Amino acid sequence: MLRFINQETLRQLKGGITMLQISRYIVLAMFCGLLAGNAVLARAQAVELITKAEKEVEVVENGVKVRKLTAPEKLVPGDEVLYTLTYANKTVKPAENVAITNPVPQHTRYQGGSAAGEGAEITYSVDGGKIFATPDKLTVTVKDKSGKEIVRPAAAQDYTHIRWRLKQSVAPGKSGSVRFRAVIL
Amino acid sequence: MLSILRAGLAAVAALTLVYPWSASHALGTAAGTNITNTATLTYSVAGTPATALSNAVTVRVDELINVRVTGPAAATAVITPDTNKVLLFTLTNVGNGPESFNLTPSLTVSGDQFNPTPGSAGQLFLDVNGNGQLDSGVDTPITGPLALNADQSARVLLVSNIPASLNSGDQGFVTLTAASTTAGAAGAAPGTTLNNLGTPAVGGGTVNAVVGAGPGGIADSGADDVANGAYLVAGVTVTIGKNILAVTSASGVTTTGCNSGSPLPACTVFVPGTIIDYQVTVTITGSGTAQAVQVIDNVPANTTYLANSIRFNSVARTDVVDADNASCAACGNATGAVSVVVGDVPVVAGTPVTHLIHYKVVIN
Repeated sequence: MLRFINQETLRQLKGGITMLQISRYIVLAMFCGLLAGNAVLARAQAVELITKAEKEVEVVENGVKVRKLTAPEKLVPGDEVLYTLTYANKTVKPAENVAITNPVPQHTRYQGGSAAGEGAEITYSVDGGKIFATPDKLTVTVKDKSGKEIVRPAAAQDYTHIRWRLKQSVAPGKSGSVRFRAVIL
Repeated sequence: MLSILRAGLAAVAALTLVYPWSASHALGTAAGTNITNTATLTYSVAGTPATALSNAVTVRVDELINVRVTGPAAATAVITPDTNKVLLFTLTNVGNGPESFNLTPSLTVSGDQFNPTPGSAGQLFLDVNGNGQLDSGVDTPITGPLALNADQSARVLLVSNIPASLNSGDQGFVTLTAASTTAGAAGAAPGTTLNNLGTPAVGGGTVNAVVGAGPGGIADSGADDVANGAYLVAGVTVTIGKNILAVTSASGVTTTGCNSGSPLPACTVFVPGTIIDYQVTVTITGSGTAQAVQVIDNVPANTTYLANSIRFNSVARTDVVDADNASCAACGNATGAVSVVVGDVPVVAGTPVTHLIHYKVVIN
């Protein structure tokens, strides 16, 4: 919409209009934009989520061991993948009740204690994402050697989903990230 | 239901903790597997709830090269000379992709007393029927690299001939080495990456190959492994000798030393009423254990067993079958048999074990 107006303005400029006319067009353009229909605006009015996978490697720099994040390559069973989820509010209003839910990827297990995120309350699910709770409230039912079902506290490798719920709203134009690690089975 | 499934995976993960420093485990995700991550975002703007999916990020699992070789727990007993004696080794691909391994036996390991030679039937065989023995026409010779899928094992027979003129107790050590055929993998440090040299177990193309950690710890290449085996010359021989130790004349005069090189003339005077004291010598030589040794000697014809005359290593025994190890049940005039249970007799090379059995009969 804006690009169209600009081109129109340019054409008018070429026609030799006055600065006053230009400013009128701009005001008109802004007014049109407000009216232009929610359909057009809604497309830009979104909160985005980008996921990124990385591998942490230990390298020696100047004789000192340093841990560095690299491209997620040369991964074999037992290796860890660091997932970073970046959210960005690209709307003009605060985003409320922001929550990010990440199923633990297939062929991996959640690395205990690795989920983090500033200002986020982190809960987990052990039932495929139906119920989320803090680790101390999660249990799993397993069969012991004799086939009897027993209930035990859930361990990190039992988690099926991780959820970050942001305690505060995300202001327009603001972004942030949360992360976790998964170990390739 | 799902929680149980996850618990199952958890159990698998727990198993891997056996080698906490190893970058590998046998039940690893197959090489070539794509692992995709997608997250969901929920939020509301101006009271209107909305949901958004993240992009999908995919990583591909590379091939972990990792092999284990285990050898037989016990030495294989052989005689001297001997042919086509078998040692059973097990080769396991504990990586996550198909991999081929060169097998190299060594027969000249130090610290032993002899070097076996390659078996006349061949040196390496696949134990096709899984019985741990070499079966001609069944077990197939191994002539090149052995290809194993992830988590697959192969039973390998190392077959050797044993030289002549060895001593009991002599040992011949061997080793069997398996080494990945992927260029640059064998002997490489754990974590070494070989670009595009891996073979995926799922999906096409190639993946990178990463050398795993061997059983020797974080510095031990997992792309090769070696196990030991041993042959032991373990012939056990039981010999029995019988002679006359002493003779007691009918008039009661006992002449001893009848088993010496120059026995007295009285040792050869046998008339009715003469008592003969027999000596049975049981000698066990070699290396190993003679199992369940039992001596049975029939009472000779024309004699009558003298009751309660058995001595085992000079200690008297009763005739009835009871807790002591000797008996002569139903013994009488040319009937019955002296029975002595010696049992298992362990013996080491150079130190023969001898047991003496004595009993007496009267000439009819």
